[in-house]
Amino acid sequence: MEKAKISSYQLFVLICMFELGSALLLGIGKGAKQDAWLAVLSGLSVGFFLFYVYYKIFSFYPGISPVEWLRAIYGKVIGWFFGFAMGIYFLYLSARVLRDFGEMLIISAYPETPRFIITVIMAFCVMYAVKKGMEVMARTGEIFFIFVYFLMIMSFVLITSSGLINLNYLKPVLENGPMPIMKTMATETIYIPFGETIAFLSIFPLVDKIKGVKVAGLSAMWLSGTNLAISMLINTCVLGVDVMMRSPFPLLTTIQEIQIAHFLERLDVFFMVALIVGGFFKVGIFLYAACITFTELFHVSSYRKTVYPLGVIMLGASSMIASSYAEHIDEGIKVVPVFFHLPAQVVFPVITLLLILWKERRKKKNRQKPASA
Amino acid sequence: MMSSRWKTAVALFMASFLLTGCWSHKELTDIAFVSAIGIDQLENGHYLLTYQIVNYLNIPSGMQIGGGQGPPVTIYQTEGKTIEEAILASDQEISRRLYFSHTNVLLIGRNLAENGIYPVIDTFDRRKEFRNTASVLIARKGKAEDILQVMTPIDHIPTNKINKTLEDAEENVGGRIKTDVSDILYDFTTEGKEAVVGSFKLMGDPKKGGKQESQNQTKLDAYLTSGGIGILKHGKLIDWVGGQDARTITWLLKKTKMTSLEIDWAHHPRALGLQVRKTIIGMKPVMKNGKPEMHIHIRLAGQLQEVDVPLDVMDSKEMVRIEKAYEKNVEQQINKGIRHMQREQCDVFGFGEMIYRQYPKEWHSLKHHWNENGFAHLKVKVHADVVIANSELRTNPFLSNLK
Amino acid sequence: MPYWWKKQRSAAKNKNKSAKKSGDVQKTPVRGNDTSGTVTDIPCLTMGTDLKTCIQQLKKTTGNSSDIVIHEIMLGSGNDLPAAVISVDGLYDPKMINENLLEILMGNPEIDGYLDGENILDSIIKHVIKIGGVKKVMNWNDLFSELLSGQSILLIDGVYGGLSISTRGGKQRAIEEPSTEVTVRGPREGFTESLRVNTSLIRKRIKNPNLWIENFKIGEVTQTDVALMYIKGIVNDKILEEARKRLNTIKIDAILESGYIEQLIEDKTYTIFPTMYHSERPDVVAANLLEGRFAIVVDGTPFVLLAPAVFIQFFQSADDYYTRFDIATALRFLRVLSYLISLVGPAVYVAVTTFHQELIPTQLVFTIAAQRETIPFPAVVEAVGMEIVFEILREAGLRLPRPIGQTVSIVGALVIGQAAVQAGLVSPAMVIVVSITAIASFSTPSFFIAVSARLYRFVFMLLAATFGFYGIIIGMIALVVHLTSLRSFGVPYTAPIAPFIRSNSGDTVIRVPMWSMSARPRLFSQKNIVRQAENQKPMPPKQKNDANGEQP
Repeated sequence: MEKAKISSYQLFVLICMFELGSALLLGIGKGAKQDAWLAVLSGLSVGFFLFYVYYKIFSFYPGISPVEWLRAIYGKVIGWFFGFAMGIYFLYLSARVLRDFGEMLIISAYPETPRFIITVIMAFCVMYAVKKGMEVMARTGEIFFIFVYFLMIMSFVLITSSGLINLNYLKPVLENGPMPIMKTMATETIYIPFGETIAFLSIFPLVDKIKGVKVAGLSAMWLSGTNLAISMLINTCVLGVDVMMRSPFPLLTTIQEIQIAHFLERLDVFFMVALIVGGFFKVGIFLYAACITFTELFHVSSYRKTVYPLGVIMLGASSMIASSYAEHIDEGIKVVPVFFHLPAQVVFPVITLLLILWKERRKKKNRQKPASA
Repeated sequence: MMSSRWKTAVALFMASFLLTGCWSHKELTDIAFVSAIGIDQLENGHYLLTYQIVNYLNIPSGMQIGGGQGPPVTIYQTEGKTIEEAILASDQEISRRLYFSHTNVLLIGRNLAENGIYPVIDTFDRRKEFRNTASVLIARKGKAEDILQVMTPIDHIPTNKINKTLEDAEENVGGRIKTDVSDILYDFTTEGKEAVVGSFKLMGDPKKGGKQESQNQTKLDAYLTSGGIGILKHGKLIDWVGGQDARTITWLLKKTKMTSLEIDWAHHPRALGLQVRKTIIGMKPVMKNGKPEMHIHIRLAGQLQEVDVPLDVMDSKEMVRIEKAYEKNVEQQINKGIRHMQREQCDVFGFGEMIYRQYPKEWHSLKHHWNENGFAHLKVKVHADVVIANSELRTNPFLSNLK
Repeated sequence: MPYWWKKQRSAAKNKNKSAKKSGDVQKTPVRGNDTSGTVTDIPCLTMGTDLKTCIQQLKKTTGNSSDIVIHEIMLGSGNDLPAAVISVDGLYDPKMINENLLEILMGNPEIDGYLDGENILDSIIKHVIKIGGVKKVMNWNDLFSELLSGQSILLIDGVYGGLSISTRGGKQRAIEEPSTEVTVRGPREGFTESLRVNTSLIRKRIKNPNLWIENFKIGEVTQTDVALMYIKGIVNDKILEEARKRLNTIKIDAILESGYIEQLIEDKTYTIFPTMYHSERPDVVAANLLEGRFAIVVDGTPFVLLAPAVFIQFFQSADDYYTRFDIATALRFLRVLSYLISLVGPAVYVAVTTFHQELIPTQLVFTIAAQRETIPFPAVVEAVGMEIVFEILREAGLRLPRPIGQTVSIVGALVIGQAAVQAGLVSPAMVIVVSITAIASFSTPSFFIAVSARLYRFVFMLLAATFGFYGIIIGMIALVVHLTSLRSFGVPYTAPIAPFIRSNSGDTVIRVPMWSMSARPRLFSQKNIVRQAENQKPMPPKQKNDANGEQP
């Protein structure tokens, strides 16, 4: 564990930036077509529940890192293996997000540059920040939070004043009933991005107030969730269902439509900036979680020593996990949610929580037994 | 030991930054700004691409430091079996890389439009360099390459003229339309709506359009003007619409805000002219006995701008009568326009789309061959509301006081 | 950098490091009164009672310097007690010596009675000398340090030790307006080079006995007087302890300016951002002291150090507090904006014209392209070249005497810019960008923050040239990460923005009205938070009866 302290407001900011990170870019919930925003909102509600599960697990073992309570619950050996699996999971996710951003930059702005170089720059920046520590990252988050929100509000104002929003594109609402929304929710929006807050389990122990974690987390998810829903709403209203479905990065396409007085045009490059910041935090937090996990597993003296090795692994992995963009997306839709996200974010924590509750009840019974006997 | 290895690693990495010839770096002097692309189809089925490249040295700007003597745009042409191939061939001809990020006009030749523009649109949709706010036009009179050769006075870059003309006309006059790439795509992919495309015409002698001497006159030998609206069905141009029917289309597409209407009055033809300042249109589909109906409500407010007949403008009852006459006129126009489209069996207004959005379940049974079956026999009820706000700076016409 | 300086710096760092690791307390003696181990290695004993030997020793040590004045007198009216008054020409006040000292000591029968006895020095102090500030000096080190500070030394034959009498004088610069911190509204006083004058200027503004001053003599050879000032009860004791510790660790030959001290006690050397603030104005120092900072005043320089410092401080100027809050807020926004412009201005220009040409409005892009058509260099080379030329011009303007300097920089910039444009070496747009950047960098109040932007600008330009906008944003992220990781004496550098402290945020980029700034910066002073009473908002008086039907 790192000896750092962050306030609950900083946790709020971190979770917010983390959630917005790649979800804003990729446009989640596309499976529900024009009801994508509803899919996001329903994913948000399940996300609340998942976050509560994580928080509850944390509240039973405050102040110690995830590996330690895994070992406490499952025993030393099995707990170690679960911890190892978690570490690999976080590392894989950081590589995935890094790849996502590399692809976005290559496709939308720098087609001639090799993707590896672009990812190297971001990876080094992330490694530098993770090495500095969570306090530094939290403070950086506070500073960029204002900046990113300002950009988002400005983009909303620009889109509205360009006269691009056409609310009719949202109709017919619930065209095929609630089933597509449920299906999208179950396969996509619960896990990305709301379930990914499981990475914060490594950061919860650093917050100064335990109750603050719950408040900060839930309000951050609410804020970022509604923002994502609004952004998908705007995407649908501006682009129409067809183009939105066909765009890999619908938000960028929407921003491209802004045209004010023949003067402000093609602002998508500008908004790429905000997205990079979000991506930075997402990759950073995943990497941090992975570093902390591996530090605990292998009893390394300071987590800072693991940053560079794991960072380089993340960098290499981001190039290796898929050989083309299509494969990357394919994996992300067909393989990852069902085989990785579902067990890691939903099944495993719920089972863990049930185990904890069962253990607690047994302890209480044991305590009560002598009294009643 | 570790630190010196790190240092060499970092140093080597930093050295890579000096490869500034690098990758996506494009100097302004290495790119050619294409302001318009014209696509024609030749007899052998190949595409002929015409690029209108801006010669910015010849555009007078702020402080003139020499230059400004040549034509502001230059034309290059390439040919290929597909669009991509044609663009690739341009590298052999032009000293710079073609840069499409400022391409504002995509001009499609008439024969290509009649054969179908589907193969052309995808590359403009997909490539990141193209703006999806570029306007798509069909060359109504003349080939695309001819139109792009014409220089325009006042606006140095012809695409500015084209876009500004269309925008202005679309909003203030009606009957002209400026369609973006994104609009066309939307129309292609939405059920229940067909695409409309604006057009431009070359008037005069096409051979003289590209010569600078012809620009040095007050009356030009060749000039560009906007044309009517082209109707596309399944991506193919089937007809042109002009005049009042075109205005109906732009009204119902909610693109026209101001226009001018005239009616006969007191047995004088075209006696009154109304300048419409504000247009509000509401269109609603209604299901009656399982059959759809469109209710259109249009409300116009304006000023009486021309009175060629003796008239007591201050008489409010008279005004009400005039308003009613206008309303009838408007309703007739709109009905006529809709019937024209119904004859063409092409739903350009998006009635089908509105039915889909409002009554999705019923739409499922209606959508097959909507243009031919549903739309062609669609019952439309138009209700117009005209308000004459005032009569500008004079009340009664001077004709009322003639001796 | 002189070799000994580097060695001194690394020695101090290593000492700090080792101390931190082993966790034991620094065992350096508290400076101030301990004078062991100095340059003059005369052991204490040789200060004998024989006057002649003493004087000879003194002359030998100072090498018979011509400005040491030794006046041998006879005390009292008799002829039996030789003494010597030693002072340094130029440092003493002749009037005081002549009228108040020599007048009394020489040929004065009144003092005869006090010249006998054991404690002659004490009796002289109490009864004879009619000047304040008299001390006994018992060893050579003290003697020299007093003598060379401008005091006069009285040595009496047969008496061990001497007296140091306060006759400080000498010429100093008058108190005038500081040239580096000019404000529209506010006092026009600035510090001078004399430590006592400076501390007095601060005392004048804080008439509170809790304003404490601790003295240090830092610098082996120069023995510079350094004063640590703070307000007891407001300042954070832990920070103060840290400051004392760091000042005591300094072992260096010379302290010629407060900058030396700043570089030796700052938190982090390898950063472009200053972690200590400095000022030439007493009102600024007083305000900072009241917020819980401490001040380090160094003799010989008008620049007073203030610590702990936070990043936002460098964007605040003194008259922000003397003007109304709306103007102050608007000007602060402007300063932050101009800092950003000076940081990324040329980089954005390079990025946009070489990578993201689609961002530029169409008409503008043709104009810029037409300008760049004749330029042989790529945009980056042009930008870096122009920036370097501008930096040269700026330095040249500083070094030349004032009237010529101003003209040269203005004329130079104009002429060179114009000529370069006409020669086809740079494009006019580039000249404009560079000029705006330069002007923007002038409007940050603190020179050292502006310098940091000047340096980092080149890094941004290189990043922009290789990666366009993406490079700029990665550079910004790295910069912000670096910024947030800095600490100044334990206080996070980016407070109160991050970590966000609500009660202090009224004074950052915005400035809320004076009556609502009721809390001191929380991270500096943990106690004594409230500095204003509630309900300080000014309101016009309520009228009891509506005279003339007017509303209040």
